[in-house]
Amino acid sequence: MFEIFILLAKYLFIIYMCVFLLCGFCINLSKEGVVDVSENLLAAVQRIMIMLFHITAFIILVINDKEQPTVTLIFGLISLLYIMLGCILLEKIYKKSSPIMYNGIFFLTDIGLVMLTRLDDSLASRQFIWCLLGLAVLIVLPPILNILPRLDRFRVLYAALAIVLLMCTLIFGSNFYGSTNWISIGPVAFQPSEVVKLLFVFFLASALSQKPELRQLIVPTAVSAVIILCLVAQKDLGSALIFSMTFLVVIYIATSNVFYLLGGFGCGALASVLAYFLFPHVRTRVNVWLDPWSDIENSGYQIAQSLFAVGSYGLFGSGFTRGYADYIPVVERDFIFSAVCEEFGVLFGIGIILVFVMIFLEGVRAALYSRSRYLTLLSAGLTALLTFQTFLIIGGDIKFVPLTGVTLPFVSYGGTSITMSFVIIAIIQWVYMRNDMYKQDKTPEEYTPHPVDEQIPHRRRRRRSME
Amino acid sequence: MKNTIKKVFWIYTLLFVVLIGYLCKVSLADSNEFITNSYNPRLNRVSDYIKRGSILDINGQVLAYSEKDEEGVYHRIYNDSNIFSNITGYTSKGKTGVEAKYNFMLETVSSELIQRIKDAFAGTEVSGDDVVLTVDADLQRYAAEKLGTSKGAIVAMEPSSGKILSMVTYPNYNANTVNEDWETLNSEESDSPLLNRAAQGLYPPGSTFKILTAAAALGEDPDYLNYSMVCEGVKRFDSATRIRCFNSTVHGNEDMTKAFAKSCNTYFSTIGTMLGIDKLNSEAYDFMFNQSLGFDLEYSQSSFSLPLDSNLSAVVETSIGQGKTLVTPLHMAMITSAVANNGIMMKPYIVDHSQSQSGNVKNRTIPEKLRSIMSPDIAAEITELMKEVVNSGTATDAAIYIDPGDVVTSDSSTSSSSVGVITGNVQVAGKTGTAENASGDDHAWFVAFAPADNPRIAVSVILENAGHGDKAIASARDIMKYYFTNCINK
Repeated sequence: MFEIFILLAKYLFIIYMCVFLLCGFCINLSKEGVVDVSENLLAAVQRIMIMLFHITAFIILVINDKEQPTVTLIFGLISLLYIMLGCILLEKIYKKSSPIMYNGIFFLTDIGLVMLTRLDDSLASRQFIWCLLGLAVLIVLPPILNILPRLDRFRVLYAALAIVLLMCTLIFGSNFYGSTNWISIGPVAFQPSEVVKLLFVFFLASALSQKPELRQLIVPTAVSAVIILCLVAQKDLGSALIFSMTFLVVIYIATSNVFYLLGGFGCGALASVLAYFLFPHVRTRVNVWLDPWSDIENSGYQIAQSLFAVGSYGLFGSGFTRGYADYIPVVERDFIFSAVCEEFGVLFGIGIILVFVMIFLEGVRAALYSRSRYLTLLSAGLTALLTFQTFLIIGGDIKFVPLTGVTLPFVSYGGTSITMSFVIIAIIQWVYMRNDMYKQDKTPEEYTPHPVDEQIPHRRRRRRSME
Repeated sequence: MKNTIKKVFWIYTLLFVVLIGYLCKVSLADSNEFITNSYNPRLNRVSDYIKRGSILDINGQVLAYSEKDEEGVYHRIYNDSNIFSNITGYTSKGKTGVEAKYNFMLETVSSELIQRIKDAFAGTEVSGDDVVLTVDADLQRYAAEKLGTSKGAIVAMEPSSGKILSMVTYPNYNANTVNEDWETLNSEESDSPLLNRAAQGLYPPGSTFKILTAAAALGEDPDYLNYSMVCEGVKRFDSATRIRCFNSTVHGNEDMTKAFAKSCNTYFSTIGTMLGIDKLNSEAYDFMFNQSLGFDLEYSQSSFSLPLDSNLSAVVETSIGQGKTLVTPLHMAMITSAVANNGIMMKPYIVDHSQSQSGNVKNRTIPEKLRSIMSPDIAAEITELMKEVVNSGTATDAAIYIDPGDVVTSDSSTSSSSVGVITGNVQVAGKTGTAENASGDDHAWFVAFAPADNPRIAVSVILENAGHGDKAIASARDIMKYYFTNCINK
């Protein structure tokens, strides 16, 4: 009977995912003024889907746990409470925030917690502590940012801090997973590159907050180059790539000049080719990406195991807890996506990608309606960070791009990574809420939900005033 | 600025759409190629929760199945195991054969959801998919009976597709008692019963290799067909090299047809020296020597070695199938099939499809061309040569006559419209071989296919230390005849 439940659950998980995405899609349509539906109701349905997902998954986990089912049960209940409280509390406190963004990240966080519980209980409980911290960040960060004065004035501070942090890592750093990108202070080890991410985007946004001429691009470019080279020196190629792409996107948005994007991309390609010939470890990565099968015992092992996980059970997966994810090395960090694809099915994996796209759309929306260049660039830059990180690791897992050991935001295990992802979302939400305040300054009527006929001229007016 | 942001969003969307597309490609299209890699741990899994699927013959006869004992533990049971164990393999000491290679299918439950829910309420066990072989169990039993207790192997295949119809080997073992017999099976005196001689046994090809030498000659120049010389039973090439026909028989004046029919060693060794080392090497390469055959079960690669600096004696010996050449009965059956199939060698396969418990067919094997090893013209000429072997040469005993009354059909109502039923005189094309063996009596080879004008079956027989090939010829003949009377019309 339990087997049948696991089998049924396979389809249930996919149904939950579809309903969640459908609701998100309808909310987006409503925001664009295509249809008129209650966004609050749909967001509530999304939360119910997360709850059902959590309950279904933990029923399986508890029955499957032969050693300490009560502990798993208690963990399941506490994390359920956390997820529900998180979504509802945030939406109640911040009425003008984007509920689908909160729902999206909590769904992903829950998928991460469920998968980690299945792989290793102790990792899951540690991850849970970080999630609690993340929730606290989401709650307290927006008012703090409101109080703080003019964060766009400290560009020198951001740049200096970022470079100092990276230098420290280079000098004092310890080696994990082949990259020197960790610092240990007493018992706590953290990844400075995750913190530098934030400083980097703050720096770019404030440095470009006035419409720049070519001459004024030199300093930001030089600083970015130093930061990126530091990351390359630490062999943290994933972060270096993410920073480079973010830099290009921010420059492109700040200048609206497509030649900077193309030129930058050309330089990036050139640099990659150069790196291939200069650094043996880059060469190894690329060769493994091109052909993991010829050296399957050693360098190709990870990616081959990942592909087996993704490819063996097809669209609907092996059934939760019935896969072989334990065989993939560092599955909880780099390959969590493959493990999810194996047990929940490739369809569910596609769903996860779409949930990410939904979150990024909200980030782009925040940038689109920001009231200052600084806020636009800040939210666009932060969104770009998450976007490229997600793309790189999922692409790496399925051998679409060379594997760079970065984490999948909200899902992978990793303290610094998950906390910083929450910080990024908190800031984007803050920008989003400020946009709404701005809208209300201009028009007295309540913003959400809008009658369709009023919303369109309203947007047009605002756009004109920006340009 | 706003338009730029929108463009950036479309770039993101495009990136992820491409990513999703690639994910689908990897998991749905490409995965068939890589998930069978031996490093995939899923291939070795045995689930405690489901019943392993059965292994069936092409007509649904059960060869291996699982059954629960009183304690609720599944056991694997094999029917007629000594006859089928080289194909099914075993599961008790690691896994071999189909059990190993198709473990994934046997352990995969692909029944429809509704069917499985019904099963759950009816208390029916959840069972993995069945694997259906291309092998005809009746033909397999018949071939095993023909082989009897002679050491050796027989492979029968369908030339047009590469389907293995039967594959027997002796000595064999019982997969039900592998655990208990393990020591005996691996002892020195046991003559390696765990070795599937049909696919893993390497033998000198003897005169069956003349198929290759003839094909090489005809490929070089079609006029070789009319090349004549006088056989004196023995020929001296140089002081160190002398070749002798079987029993030193003097064949007199002969062209290729007669020399092939009588299996004249002096003729083909002369031709070999005329062709030279390069040509023999390239022909052996074309014939898939030293190469992967892509067969699903454990097999050995045939080996051909004639280095450029070989002396005359090596060339002479190699061109009549002595020398260092080693070949498996499976490979010999494939070569024979290729002659029958217009020169196209098909990839051999032994699993036709898998099916869910509700009968849905999955993973049907699609016949695949391995290589065109000779032109259709040459294949037709070799076929003529091989017909003459049966009509007037060394294998006159292989001729088949089928009395229409012997033909067994499954359904009496359709037997009246006997389309495709083979009766009367059936033209067989074949080639005998006697492989000299350093450690004992010669091995006897016979390869054949029939009917020559529309081949349905090719057979390769090797009998270790059987001397000359009478029994091999008779076995091949009887197996082909049995196939036409008892199997083909099912």
